[in-house]
Amino acid sequence: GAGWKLDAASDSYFAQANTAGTPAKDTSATLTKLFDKYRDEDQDEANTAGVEGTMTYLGDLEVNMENIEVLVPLEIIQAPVVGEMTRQGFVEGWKALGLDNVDKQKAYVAEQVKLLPSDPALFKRVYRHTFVCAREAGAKALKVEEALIYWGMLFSPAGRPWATATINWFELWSEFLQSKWTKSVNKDMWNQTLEFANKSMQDESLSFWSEDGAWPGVIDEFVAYVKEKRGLPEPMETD
Amino acid sequence: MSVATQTTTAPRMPPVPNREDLDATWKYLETGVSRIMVNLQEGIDMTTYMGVYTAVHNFCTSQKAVSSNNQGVIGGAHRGAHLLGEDLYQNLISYLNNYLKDLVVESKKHSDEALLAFYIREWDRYTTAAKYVNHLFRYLNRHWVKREMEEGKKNIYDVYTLHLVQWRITLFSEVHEKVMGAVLKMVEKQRHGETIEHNQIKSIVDSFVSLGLDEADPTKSTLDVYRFNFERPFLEATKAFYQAESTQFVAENSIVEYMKKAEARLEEEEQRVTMYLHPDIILPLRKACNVALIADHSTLLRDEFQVLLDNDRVEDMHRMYLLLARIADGLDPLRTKFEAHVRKAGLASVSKVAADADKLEPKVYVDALLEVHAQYQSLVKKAFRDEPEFTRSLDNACKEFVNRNEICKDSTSRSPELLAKYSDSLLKKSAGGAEESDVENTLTQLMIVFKYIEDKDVFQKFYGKFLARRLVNTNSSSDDAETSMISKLKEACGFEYTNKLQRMFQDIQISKDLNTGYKEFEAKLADGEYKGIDATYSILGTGMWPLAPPNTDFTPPPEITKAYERFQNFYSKKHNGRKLTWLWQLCKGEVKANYCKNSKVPYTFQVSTYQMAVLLLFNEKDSNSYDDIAKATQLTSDVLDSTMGIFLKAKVLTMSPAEGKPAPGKTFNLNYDFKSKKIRVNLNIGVKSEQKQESDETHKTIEEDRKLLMQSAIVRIMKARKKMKHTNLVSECISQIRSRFIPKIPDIKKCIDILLEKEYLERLDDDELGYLA
Repeated sequence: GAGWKLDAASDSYFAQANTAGTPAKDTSATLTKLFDKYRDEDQDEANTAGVEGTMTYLGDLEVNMENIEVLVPLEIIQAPVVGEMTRQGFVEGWKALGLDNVDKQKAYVAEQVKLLPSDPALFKRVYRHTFVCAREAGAKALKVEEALIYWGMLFSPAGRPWATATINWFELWSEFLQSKWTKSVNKDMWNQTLEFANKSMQDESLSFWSEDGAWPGVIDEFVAYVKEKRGLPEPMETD
Repeated sequence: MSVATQTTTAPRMPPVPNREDLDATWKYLETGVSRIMVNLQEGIDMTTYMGVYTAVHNFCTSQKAVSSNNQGVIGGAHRGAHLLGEDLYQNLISYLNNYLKDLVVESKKHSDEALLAFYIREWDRYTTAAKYVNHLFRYLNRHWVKREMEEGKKNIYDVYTLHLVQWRITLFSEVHEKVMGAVLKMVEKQRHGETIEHNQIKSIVDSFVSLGLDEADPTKSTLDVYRFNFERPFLEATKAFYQAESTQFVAENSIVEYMKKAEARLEEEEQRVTMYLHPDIILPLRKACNVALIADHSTLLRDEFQVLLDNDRVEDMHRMYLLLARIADGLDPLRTKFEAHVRKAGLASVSKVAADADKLEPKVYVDALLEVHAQYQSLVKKAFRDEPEFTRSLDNACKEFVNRNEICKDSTSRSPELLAKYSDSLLKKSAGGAEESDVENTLTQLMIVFKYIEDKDVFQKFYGKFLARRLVNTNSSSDDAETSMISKLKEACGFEYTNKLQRMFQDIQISKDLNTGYKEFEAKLADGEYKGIDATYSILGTGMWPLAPPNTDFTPPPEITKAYERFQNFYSKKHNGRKLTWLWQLCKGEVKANYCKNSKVPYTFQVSTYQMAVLLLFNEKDSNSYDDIAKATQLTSDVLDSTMGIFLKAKVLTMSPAEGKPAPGKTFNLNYDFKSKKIRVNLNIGVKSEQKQESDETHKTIEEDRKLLMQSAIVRIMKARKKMKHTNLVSECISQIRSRFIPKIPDIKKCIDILLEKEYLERLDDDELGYLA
């Protein structure tokens, strides 16, 4: 239902709230209280929960901090950076889903994590938000090494592995970035990488690609890199 | 109508019948008509004429007399006249029918030209008679026929037309094929070179044309009968004839011979039309000839085109052009071949001069390009009628070989660079000193190549650099030539392109006035005051000139300091608040060497300001250490070393120890034994490596400028459109920029990436971009 799509969910929620007076205020109050539990009144800025509280919360949700699992709740609560939650993001996010206690939230996150490999829209949402919260505060771009860590999480078996029958695309991608790419990863590059990954998995001959297309320059260079590599004799390609 | 009054009559006219006796009246009429038909040449006397005329009248009105009671006259007379008119009309038809049937029988005795003669003779006789009969039957025409036609009866004609209709139905239908066969035989004879009686054919054409009646409106004529029975077989025969002839001719002759033949044949057919055919045939006849003579052999013709091109057979190419221009899409393959040929010629011409690419004289290169252009432009003019399409092919080819050839295989910017260098050599004062008009002509030629240059921005950069140098060094050969060249560039590329060039030129003009003012100011100074050195100053607007500030510190000698400080005062009084930056590296002067023992007239050294600063130190001491000089002038070691190098090479100074290069620890001495053949010695000479470096730097700034130009174009487009598909943005960007250079798509995409990153743009969808204000 609407629960899959945050935007749609909140839209429909607000629509309901306006017409039919659902117990909206109740959830808000409960969620606000819940959020405050994770705030350190002395250290954290107003309406924000810092690293400690956020980690405690993620611990309560029982998500694995080392892999893609952690990215799911971060997207739901629209965390601005990895170790931080805002009141607004937390309350709006959960309110829209109608989940006002940690147990419900934990169950929901667990369910979503399982769905990641098979639900492209969910995956895209999590993928895009990852860039948002992976950046250092105030930065517009992500360092390649850091981006590669997150890509590693996202393109892992728990997410959507970027590979086809004969090609391990993600391996080529990180090889390419490490050897040829000297710049950082900006938002457009991050977002378009997923688009390219999806298309390359549907058509590993890359016939969808053309130099005149809208792909960012880095994708064009990657395609050239891949084509050169794959142009090598068979034995080199099998491993 | 004139009526003969002869009385020699062959079939005697019966006596004028009683007006009530219709049989007798028709008999009388028939005899009269028959006399006109058969013996018109013998004439008709007035009595007969009047008799027939009256008989027709009587015939048509007799019933009126019979049934005449005074009441109901109109209706009765009407019906009666109607019925009687019809009898007369039908009688006339059967008379004509019999007459024509006899003629058909008669015609079978004739064939070929005799048949034509027979047909024409009988046609003339018949139609002439028809006019008379028509006249005599005027009453019938005016009353009965007119009414019938008004009532919308079909197949009722005035008497003259009735004659034609009967001719067509009874005679023409029987004989036209045989007649046409005879016509075609004659035409074929003529095509084989025999003389024929072509007036006969003309008469046949006229006859066939006359037989065309518009069924819907008998008063009008159509060409249907002629088209179907004459034109159609004529065209078929023509096509067959030329197909056969041309197939045989090309098998036995060269293509060039064939073209001459075809040309002659086409001309001949045109004349045939004016000589004896109906003008209506001209278009289909041309078409038939074009198919048989040209289209059917177009492949052969086109294959020959390359041979003609290779051998520069201008006239034959012109011939081929005219022939192929007559058929649809006939010239396209020629244009394609022409374009490829010109490109090849251009590449070959460049290859010839490209052997030593690094030392290539700009003039040699530009001449190599121009030569090919001139040759083929003249071909377009002579052989292809200056046709715009061929001109476009020429332009395409030139654009190709001007921008992509052996000389510019690494970079398309070689062409504009060499072209700019060539322009510099033309506009610079030189020993030879070309005539003003020659320079103007050569500049016009140069603009031909300029038109084809893709990287116009590169030309602009280099041209600006060279112009700046000419102006600063005051070695431009003529202001008129400079102005003329700038206006040519402005005309080709617009105001923006030449804006800075023009400003530079103006700066120099303004500086001239300024110097005059300064001279006057100096002249008014009190006698006791320091008069200083004779100096000229150029004030160059910042940002307009492609000049950089000096790359070294410099302390000018006191002589110069005094002079320029005074000028600076003078200038700041005139223009308060303007800051002057001295470009020492471009300043120069002359010093007199009074110390030389070998010459009574002192040598004059032409030196840079840096050199001057060094030499003036030797006014105080004959010997200066490297470190002393460095300290006094503040020049960096690079600049100082090359400055000293020139002095040593020219033997103005000597160095001790003499081995090695100028360096700390060395000492320099004034050479009192300096010798030179010339009184004026130019020591202010650049070093080759500097020029190369300068060129590389120019190329680098071009790359930077291009990035900015692309980015600003993208922002401009997006600002106007707000949202745009990626591919559209790229092509729009190309079209905006291509007048300066041809941007590469990956470069544009890089600029889009940068703008996305800087958040001037955002990606709305995979292939749609949005503008962020």
